[in-house]
Amino acid sequence: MASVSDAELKNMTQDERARALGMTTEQLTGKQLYVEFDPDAEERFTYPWAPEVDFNKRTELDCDGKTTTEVNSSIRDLMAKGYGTIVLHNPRGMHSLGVGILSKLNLIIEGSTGYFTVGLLDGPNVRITGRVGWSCGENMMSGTIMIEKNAGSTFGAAIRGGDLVCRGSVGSRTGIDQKGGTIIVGGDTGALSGFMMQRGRMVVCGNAGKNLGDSMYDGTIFVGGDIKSLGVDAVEAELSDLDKAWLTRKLTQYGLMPDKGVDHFTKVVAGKQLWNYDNLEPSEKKLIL
Amino acid sequence: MKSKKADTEYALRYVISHDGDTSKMAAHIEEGEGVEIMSMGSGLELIKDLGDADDVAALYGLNDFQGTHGIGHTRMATESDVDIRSAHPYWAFPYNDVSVVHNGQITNYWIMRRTMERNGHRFMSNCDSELLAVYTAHNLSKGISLEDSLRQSIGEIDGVFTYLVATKDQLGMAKDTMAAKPLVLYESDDLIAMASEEVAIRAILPEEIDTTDPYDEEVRVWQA
Repeated sequence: MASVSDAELKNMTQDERARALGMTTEQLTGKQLYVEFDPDAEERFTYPWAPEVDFNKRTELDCDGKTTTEVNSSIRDLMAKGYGTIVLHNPRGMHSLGVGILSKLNLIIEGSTGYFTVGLLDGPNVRITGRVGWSCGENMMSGTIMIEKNAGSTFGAAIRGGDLVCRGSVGSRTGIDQKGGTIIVGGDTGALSGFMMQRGRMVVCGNAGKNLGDSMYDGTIFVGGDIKSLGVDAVEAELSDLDKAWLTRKLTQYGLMPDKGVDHFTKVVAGKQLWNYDNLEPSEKKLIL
Repeated sequence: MKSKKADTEYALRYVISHDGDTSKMAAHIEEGEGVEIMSMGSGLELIKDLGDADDVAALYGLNDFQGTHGIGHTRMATESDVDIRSAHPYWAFPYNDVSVVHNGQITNYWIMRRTMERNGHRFMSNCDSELLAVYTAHNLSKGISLEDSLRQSIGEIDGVFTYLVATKDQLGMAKDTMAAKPLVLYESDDLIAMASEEVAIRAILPEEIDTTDPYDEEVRVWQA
């Protein structure tokens, strides 16, 4: 449990509350950062108000005839009763299913969903047997999301942590504004993937569309297939042994390891000619940021 | 020769047998005071009205329509009036059997509109989506195939757009160079379904199916 109470959090400023919950202010350094969690903040990985759930306590929920609000409220009610595994049936393209869950949970969605599926997550493990619409996993902080079929555009927009995996192909602008975590695509990705990426890693086992990594500040993109074109300030880099080991571990973990291994992957990083805040004076930084 | 097919409070629907130049016929019909043709087609009928989609469908008996393909649109007015003139699908007076639905914003609308007007085309609204119908009809009238017209539009039309075109015997789609507007596509041996949102497709195909997002600059045409 966290070391601060709800009452203490309530009396804090927004900045103090963010720091107390482990969301410390981070500065772009222009350097590659692979450490995404502060080990000293381990006890604060759970929100103080998070319900205690038991993964072995399982229930099912039929979305048919219900609104998104009703389904999402039901998920919270079930979690409050200790259910740690919830299965949703008949989502039939509903938008915003399972958003804003900030504690551990096994959420299984049997079927396909619409926009903003399981966005704003911090902790749950989600498996979706169908396809997802635009902006799946947007702003995820931690947890895992596994999509069995295809996904729409802006897959994993602005995610900060966790693993977001799509076994099929995804639309355009995958990982736009990615700030951390890992996005893995089993198939192809569309144009402008990794646009303005700031941190984290993206793996595309298939082909990537035009302008890959356009205006990326930092982070790493690995592509197993062809790249139609690189975006502004995105450059190829040498695939290191560490990269290969990481790719092998991650792709094996999710059953997406190519038969021919990972040696053929192309690594793309920021050229850092477009943006490099470290070269700016503090007054200049203040103007831009 | 004409026979009255059906009507609403303000819209009349006629089946007309005519062997001559349909553009001359259309001009003749509009010589009547207060008369305006909402659409005209030999194989395609265009319906537009205000209100809930279910209500409009019931009013015009759309569930009884027989055919190979159709397109529809529910409009959220952002840049022009809430009225029937600004509603999709659009057609291009006086061309038969061309209709368009569009999601997006066309940023060179006025330049392209003036170009089309210099070519003698008429616009019935100030909605940028109408440009795509006039542009397509213009190209088709010049003998350009629907597929080539759709490809050409990606280079000539500025802005963000996904649009569908229905003609008498073809259904087509085009997506702009940024792929900024959504489209979900389901394709099987005997059915094509496209929508901006997955939920629209699932409303008619509740069973589990595989759908995809067409990519940037993608053009597809299906023959009826």
